[in-house]
Amino acid sequence: MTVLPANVPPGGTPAPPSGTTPYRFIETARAIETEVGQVIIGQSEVVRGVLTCLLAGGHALLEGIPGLGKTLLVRTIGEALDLTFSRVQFTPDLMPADITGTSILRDTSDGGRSLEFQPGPLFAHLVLADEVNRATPKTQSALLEAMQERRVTSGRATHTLPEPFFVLATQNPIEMEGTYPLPEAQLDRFLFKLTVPYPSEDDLLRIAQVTTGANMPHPNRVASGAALLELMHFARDVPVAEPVLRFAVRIVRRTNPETPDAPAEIKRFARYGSSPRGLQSLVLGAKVRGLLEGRYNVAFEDIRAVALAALRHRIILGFEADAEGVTTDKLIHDVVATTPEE
Amino acid sequence: MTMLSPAATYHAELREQLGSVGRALSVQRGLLWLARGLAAGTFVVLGVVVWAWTRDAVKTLPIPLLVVVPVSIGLLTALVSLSVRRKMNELARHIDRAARLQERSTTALELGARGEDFPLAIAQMRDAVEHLKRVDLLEAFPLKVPRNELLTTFFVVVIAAIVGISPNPWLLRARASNPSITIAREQAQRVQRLADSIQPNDSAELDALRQLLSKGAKTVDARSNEPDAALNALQDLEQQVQQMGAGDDQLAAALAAIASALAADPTTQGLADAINTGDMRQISQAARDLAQASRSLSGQEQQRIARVLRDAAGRAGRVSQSVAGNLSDAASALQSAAAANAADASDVAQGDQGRAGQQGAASSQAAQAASDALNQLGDSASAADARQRAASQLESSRNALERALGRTQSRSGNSSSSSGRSSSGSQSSSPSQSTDQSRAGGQGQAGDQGGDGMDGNGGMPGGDQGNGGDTGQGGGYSTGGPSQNHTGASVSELDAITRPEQVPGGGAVAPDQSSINPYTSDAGSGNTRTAAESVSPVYSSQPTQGNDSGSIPIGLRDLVKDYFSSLDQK
Repeated sequence: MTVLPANVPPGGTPAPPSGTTPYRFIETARAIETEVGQVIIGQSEVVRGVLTCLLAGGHALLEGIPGLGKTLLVRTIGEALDLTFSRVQFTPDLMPADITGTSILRDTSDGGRSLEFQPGPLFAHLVLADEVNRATPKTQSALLEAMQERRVTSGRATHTLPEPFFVLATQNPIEMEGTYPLPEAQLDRFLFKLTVPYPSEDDLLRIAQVTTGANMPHPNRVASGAALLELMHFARDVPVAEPVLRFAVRIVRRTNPETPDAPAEIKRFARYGSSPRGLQSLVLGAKVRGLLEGRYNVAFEDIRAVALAALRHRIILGFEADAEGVTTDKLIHDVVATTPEE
Repeated sequence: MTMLSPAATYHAELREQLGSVGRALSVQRGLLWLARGLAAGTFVVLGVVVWAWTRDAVKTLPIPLLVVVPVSIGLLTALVSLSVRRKMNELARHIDRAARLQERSTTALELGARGEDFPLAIAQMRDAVEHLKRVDLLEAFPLKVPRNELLTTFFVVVIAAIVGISPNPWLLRARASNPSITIAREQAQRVQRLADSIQPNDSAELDALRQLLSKGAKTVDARSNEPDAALNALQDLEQQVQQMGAGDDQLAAALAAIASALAADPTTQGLADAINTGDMRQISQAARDLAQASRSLSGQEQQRIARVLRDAAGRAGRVSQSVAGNLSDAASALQSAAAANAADASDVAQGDQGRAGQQGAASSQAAQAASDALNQLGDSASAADARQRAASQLESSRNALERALGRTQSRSGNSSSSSGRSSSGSQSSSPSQSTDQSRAGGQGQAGDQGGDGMDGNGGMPGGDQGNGGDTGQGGGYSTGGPSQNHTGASVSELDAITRPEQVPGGGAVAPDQSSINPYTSDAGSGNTRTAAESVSPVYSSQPTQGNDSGSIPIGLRDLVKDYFSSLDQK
C-alpha cells in the first residue's frame, strides 16, 4: 500500500470505514457531479477537477475571467454536499481577522468581562475565497496558513477548523492592477489549479435557457460532510503500482530545469520546477481519478490527466517564457508527452 | 487443509492467468522471430549469391543449401525467442498495455507479491483477475502476419534470383577482353563430360577417377575467371591423374609380354588380338569375354588354356606381379576345374552320383574363380583405359589453355608419361605386330615406336596422333621406318615439321631419289580399331587449337567446332 503524507489530516490516516465500498464511492461522486451539473452548464472538466480536489482533501484555485460561474460552482457544490459554506470577497482592505475571526470583549454573567473568540468565515466546511489575489499578502498569508494547518490561531488560542475543510479560491487573470499575486510558496498550498474556460456556444445557449427562466435549478444534497470524509480516507487507500509511481516521479523531476533529462523547453523557459508537494498532488489526484473512472488502481492515464491541474501552478517561468508567450500548460504538456512510462 | 487468504488466492489466480497469456504471447513472438530469422537468412543468401555472382559461380551454389540456410536461421531465432522467458511483472505490463487494462494486472501483481489484504487491495486484485479473464487474447494480441518481414524475405529472394540469373556485365566484359576465360570454362566442361562418361559402378578405381575428374572440373570452372589459377588447377589435376595411373605402364608392358603366349590358343586369341591393338578398352572387353567363355569350357580346353595362361603368367611376372597373379590365379582355377571335371566324369562312369555332384560343384566354383581372375584383369585394363583418356584430355585442355594464355608449351615433361605409355604399348606388340602391320598397311611399326619425345596428344598439326595404345594402327602418321627410306629421325624433330613438302630426314636428297612424304602418303589400310571415345577428346581439341592458331579459315571455324562438338555429345 502506498501511503503518501500529503495533506494528511491531523490525526493521521484512519483506516477506511467498512461501510465505504468502491461502488459507494463512485456512486456518491457521480451523484455530486450530476447535481452540480444541473446548475453549472458545461464546465464538466472543472466540475470533475473540483470534485477530485475535494475527494483528495485538497484546496483548489480556480482561475478565470469574471462571470464564468466560479462562485456559483463552489456554492452549488456546498449545497450538494450539505456542507457549511461561506464566501469571502477579498479586497485590499480585508484584514486577516476579517477571515479568521477575532476576540471580542464580552460581559460575563458574573459581571466581569472576558475575551470571546468570534469565528470568521474560515470556520466553515467550504470556503469560497473570491478574488483571492486582491487581498494584501498579510491577509493571504492568514488564509493560506489556515489552509495548510487547518487551524487558526487568535491571540494565544488555537482554534481547529471544521472537517472537512476546503478552500476554493478564485482569481481573475485580468485586471491585474491593484492586485497582489499569490507568492509561489503559497500557490503551492493548493492541490489543484483549475482554469475555467469560456463556455462553448451550446453551453452558452443552455446557460441562457436555464438561468433566465423563472425557476432556477437547485441541487439536491447527496452526501454529508461525514460521508465526504469517508470518501477522502477511502481514496487514499487506492493502490498505485511502482511503475506508475515512478512515472509520476519522472514527470515531476523533469519539470525541474536542473534535472539532466529535463526537456529542452523546461531548461530554457522554466526557472523552478515542481516541488515534492506537486508529486503528492499528482498522485492523490490520480488516485481519486482512478476511482472515479471505476478502477481500484491508478493508471498512467490518471497521472497524465491530472498533471496539468496538479503542476501548472508549481512551475515558475523565467523571463524568456514571458517574452515568448510560453505557458506552464505547454511545458507540462511537453513533459508529459516526452516522459517514458518505463 | 490450509486455506489460502483471498489475497493469496487472487494472486495465484492472477499468476495463472498471466502465465497462460504469456505462453500465447511466446508462440506469437516465436512466429514473429521465425519470420525475422527467415528475412535475415535471405539476406545471408543474397550475400552468398552476390558473392558467387561476382565470381560467376552462381551455378555451382547448391540450391538446397540456399533454402536450408534461411529456414535454419528462422527456426533458430524462433527457438531462441521461445526459450526466452518473460518476467511476470513485465508480462503484466505488456498485457495491461495490449488489453488496455490500465495497469490493473501490474498493480494486482504487486499487491499479491506484497501480500496486501486491505479491502481495496482485495477488490483491486479481484477486479484485475476478472478483467484478465475477460480479455480476448486474439483481440488483445491479434495474430499478426509479420508482413514486413515476409515482404522483406520475398523481395530479397526475388533480388537474389534476379542477381543469380542475370549475367555479370563485368565478367562478360572481362571474358570479351580475355578469351582465355571462355577457353578455361570450355575445358572445364570437357573434363566434366569426360568424368560423366565414366561409369562409376565398374570399379572402385573408376569411381575414384570419376570423382577426381569431377571435382577438378568444378575447381577449374570456379577459377575460370582467373585463367592462370584455372591452369594451375588443371595442371594439379593432370598430375593427380598421372599419379593414379603410375602402374599403367607396367600393366601395358605386362600385357604386351603375354600377347604372344595368348596367341598360341584359339580361345585366348581374341585377348591376344586385343592386346595387340594396344586399346585398353578392347583388352578389357576381351578379358571379360574370356572370363565368360572360361565357364563353359570342357575339361580339356580348360587344361589347355590353363597352360597358356600359366605360360603368359610366367612372361608377365617379369613385368607386373599383379597381371601375373591374375593369370596365375585363373590358370590354377582352370586347372582345378579341369581336374574336377575329370573326377566328375569318372564318378559318373562309376555310377557314384553323389560324388559326381560334389565334383561338378567344385568344377563350377573353380571355373567361377577363373572367371573372376580374368574379370579382375579386365577391370584393371578398363581403369587404365579411363586414366589414359583422362590424361589425354587433361593434357589437351592444358595445352589449349596455355595457348590461350600465350604461354610457350613445355610439354616434354608432362607428355613423357603418355608418350611412354604409348610407345610401350606399341613395343609390346612388336614381335608379332610387325608382320601384321606390314601385311595390313605396309607401315613400319618400328617407326611408330619412335623416340621418347613423341607428342602423343595434340602437338602435331593435322596429324592423327596415337593416343596411348592406339599407335600405328589404321590412320595416323607414320614416322617412317627402314622400309620407307626414312632416316629414323626422332619424332620430336618431326614435330617441328609444319609443311608437308618438307622432306624428313637429315641427309641430302638427290634429284633422282624418290621419297615418300609421310604427311601426304595414304593412310594405312588397316581398320581403325581404336574406340572413338578414347581418341575423341584429342580430336575434339583440334578444332579449338585450329581455331586458336588460325590454321582454320574464319568462315569454317564454326562448322568445324560444331562438328567436333557433336562428336563430344555422342
